[in-house]
Amino acid sequence: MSAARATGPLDGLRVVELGGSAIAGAGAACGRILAELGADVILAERPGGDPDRARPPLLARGEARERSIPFLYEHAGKRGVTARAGSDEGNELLGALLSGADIVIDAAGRGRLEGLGVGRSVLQARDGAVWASITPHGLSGPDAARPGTDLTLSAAGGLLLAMGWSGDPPYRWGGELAFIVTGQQAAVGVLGALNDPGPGDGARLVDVSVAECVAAVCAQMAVGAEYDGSDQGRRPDPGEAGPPADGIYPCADGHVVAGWGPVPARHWPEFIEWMAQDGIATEWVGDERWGDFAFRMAHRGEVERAVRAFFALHTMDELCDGSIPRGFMLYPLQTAAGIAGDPQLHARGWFRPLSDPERALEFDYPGPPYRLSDTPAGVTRAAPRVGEHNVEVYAGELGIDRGRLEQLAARGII
Amino acid sequence: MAGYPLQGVRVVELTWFIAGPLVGRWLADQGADVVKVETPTRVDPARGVPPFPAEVPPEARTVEMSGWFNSYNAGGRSVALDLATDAGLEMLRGLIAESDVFLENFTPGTVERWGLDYDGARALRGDIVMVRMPLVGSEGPRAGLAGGGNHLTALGGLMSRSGPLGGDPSPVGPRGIMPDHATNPLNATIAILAALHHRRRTGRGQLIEIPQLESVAGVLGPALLEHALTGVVRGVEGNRSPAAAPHNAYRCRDGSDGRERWIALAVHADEEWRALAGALGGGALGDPRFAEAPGRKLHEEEIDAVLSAWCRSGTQEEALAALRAAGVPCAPVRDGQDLLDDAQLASRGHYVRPPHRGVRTPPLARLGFRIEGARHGPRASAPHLGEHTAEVLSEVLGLGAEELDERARLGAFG
Repeated sequence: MSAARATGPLDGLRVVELGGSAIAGAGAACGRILAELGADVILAERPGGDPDRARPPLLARGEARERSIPFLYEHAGKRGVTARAGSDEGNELLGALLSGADIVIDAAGRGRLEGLGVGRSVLQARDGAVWASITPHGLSGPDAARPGTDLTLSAAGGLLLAMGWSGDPPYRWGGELAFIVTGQQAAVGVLGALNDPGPGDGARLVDVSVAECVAAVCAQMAVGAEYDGSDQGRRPDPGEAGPPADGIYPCADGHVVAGWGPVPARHWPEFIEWMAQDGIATEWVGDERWGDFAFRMAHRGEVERAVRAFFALHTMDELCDGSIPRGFMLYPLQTAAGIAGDPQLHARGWFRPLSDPERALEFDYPGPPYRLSDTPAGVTRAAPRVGEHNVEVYAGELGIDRGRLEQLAARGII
Repeated sequence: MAGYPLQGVRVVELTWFIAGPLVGRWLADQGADVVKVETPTRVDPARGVPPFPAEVPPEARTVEMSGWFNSYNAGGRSVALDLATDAGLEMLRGLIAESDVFLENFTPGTVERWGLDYDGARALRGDIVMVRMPLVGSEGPRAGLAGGGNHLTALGGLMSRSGPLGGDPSPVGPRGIMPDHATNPLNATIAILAALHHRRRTGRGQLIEIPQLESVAGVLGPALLEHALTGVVRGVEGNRSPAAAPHNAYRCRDGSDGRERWIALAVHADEEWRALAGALGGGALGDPRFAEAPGRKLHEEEIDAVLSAWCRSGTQEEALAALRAAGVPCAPVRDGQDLLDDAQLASRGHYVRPPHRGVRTPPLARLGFRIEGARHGPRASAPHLGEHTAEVLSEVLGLGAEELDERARLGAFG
C-alpha cells in the first residue's frame, strides 16, 4: 500500500453546515458532495441533535437519535458538533466555527441565524469565504417567505409533471430529488464562487433557491411551452401505437426496458436467432423482412407476443448481458437490490465498505459519482453521532478549554 | 462591473446530445469560454430534435432551430473541424493545448482514434483537466453496453421508484431522461470545478471519469443504504413519504381554460397539521386519531379523501390562498407554461433570452443560485454550426487569414 494519503480535490477546505429547517436535506446533500470531494465538513447541530435525526425510515435498534437511515446516508463523511445558537456562549462557539470556515452551508431557515445573532452579517469571515444560503424560494421575490418541502418545491419547479406518462396524476420521484438537485447546484455555485474570490469584503453570498433549482432541471418544459406548446415533461404512453419490442416488459425476475431508441435493423437477425434458441419464432430465422421496421410494425402483435414470451424466460441480467455482444438494447429495471448486486458496479469497486463501530454497523456505502485520477473522491467515515466531535473541534482546533466545554455541556449549550 | 467567476477558463468540448453539452452550458453561464468542436459531416444529432418554433414550417427547419440544441449549447462558440483530416486534427490539438478543460462524451474509442485519450491530451497540455462520461465505465464486464440517459433511468434504479401510487414504474424526468438533464451534467460540472480548485493550488490537472451509471445509481443513496442495513427494497411510492402525511398532489377545479389544475401539500409537523385542519374548518380533520404524525400516516387514505374533496370543490387559487394564509407548505403543480408565468422565477431572472440569429431564442433557464457580485447566465444564444471557426482559431491559435485559407485548402473545416 502506498503511504501517501489519498486526498480529494477539496482537501484542506473547512465547511460548516447548518440545518434544522424543513429543507435541511438540500444543505445536507451539498455538504455530502463537498465531503466526498475531500473537504472537512462539520455539521453544527442544536444540542441533542437536529430534527432530521428523527427522519424515517429508522433502524430497528439503536439510540433514538442515531437510527435515521436518511441521516446516516446524508451525513456520512462529515464531523459533528453541537451548539445552542442564540445563547451568548453558544454564539461564541458558532462564531468561532463559522468565522474560520471557507464555506458555510446555511440551510437553517431563512433569516434564522441572523435572528439568533450568528448570521452572515455579524460574523467576520475569512477573505474569500463563501456563504451559501439555501431557502425554499431564494432570499428575494414575492414567494421568498413561503415555506416549502421537497414535495411542494418539486411541484413549484415543475418536477411533478416531468415524470411518467401524459394523463398520470402528478407525482414525484420516490425520493427527495428536489433536495438532490439543489445540493448539486449549490455545490456548483459554491465552487464557482471559490474560483473567484470577489470583492473580498466578508463572506460572499450564494443565494440558492430550491424551487429554482428544480425549475432548472425542468428547463425543457418551458422551452416546449414557449416554442410550440409541446409538453417536454411527460409524453404519451404509446401503447399499441408504439413500435414493438420497445418499452417496459416483465421478465423472469423483474422488468426489462427494451429499446427506447433506435435499434438498428442489423441487430434484429441476431435477436431473432437468440429467441429461436428458446424455440420462439424459429420460423423467422433467416427471414430478412423482420429487419425492416415497417414490416415489424405491420406485424406488431406477433412481435410483441414473441418478445414477451422470450423475456419471461430470462432474468434481467441474462437479457442485459446477452444484449451486449448482439448490439441489442435491453436493460434491467433495477431496484436497490439490483444495484446492490450489479456486476459492473462491483467490478469497478463502486460500493465502499464503511465501518460504524459506535452504532455497531458495517455496511456498503454508495461510491462517488466520479473518479478523479489525481485526487480520489469518496466518503471514509460514518455520519457523526450527536456532538461526537465537540471536544476534537472546540478544544483541539478552536482552542477552547476542555473544562469550560464540560461546563457548557452541563448547561445544555453544547 | 461585476465579472463572471470562471472568466479566463477555457473549455474545449467534443460533446453531443444533452449531458455533455449541458456541462459546457453551465460552465459558460459562469463565464468560461466554451469552444464546441463540431464536425460538419456528422453534426450533433440534438440539432435536429424538436421542439422547433411553431412559426417555422417543417420544411424550413435547419440545424440552427432546435429548441434542444439551442438551449443546451447557449453561450458557447462553435468551431467546425473535419477531424478526419490531419489539418482538422491539428487545429483540435492546438485548441486543447490552449484550454484548461477538455470535455468529451463521444462513443467510447472515438477520441482514442485521434490520439486524444488522457495521455494524448496531457502531452498537449500538461495540466489539462480532461473529463469523460462513459455509460457504465471504461472497463468492467458491461463496459461494452451501449445506451443513453433513458436507459440509465432503468439500469441506475431511478425508474424503479418513479410511478403513480399503485402503478407500474414509469419514465423519470423531463421527457423521461433525468440522468441527462440533471444527474450527470451536474456531477460533471461539480467535478470540473473541484479539479480546477485543486489545479489552482497544486498546478496539477487530472482525468475525471463520470461513469454515468455510478452517477445515476448514487441518486438512490438513501434507498441503497436502507437496503444494505435492513434488506428493504422500496418501489414506486407516488407522492407518499415515509416521514409525513398528508403528502400528496390534489386536483382542484379545472381552470377557466379547461386545463387540469392541481396543488401539492405536505404536512410534517403537528403544528402544520393543526393549521391545515383549521384552514378546512376542522370537521373530519379534527379527529383526534390524526393529531400526531404516526396516526396521520396510518390513516393517510382517509385524510387524502377529505383533502381531495376539498380541493376539487374550489379553484387552485382558492386552495392555495387558504393554505398559505394558514402557513401550510403548499404549491401549485406547475407545467412548462406555469413556469414561464411564475412571478417568483421571473423576479430572479430565471429565464434569459439573448438574441439568436435567424430564429426565436428559447427561454434559457439558469441554475438556481446567484453569486453576490457576480454575473451568471448565458451571455449569448447557441452558436450556429461553425459560427466561430475563424474567430476562435485566430484568437486562440493566432492564425492569420492566409494560414486559415491554407488549412481550408487542406480540408480542416470540412
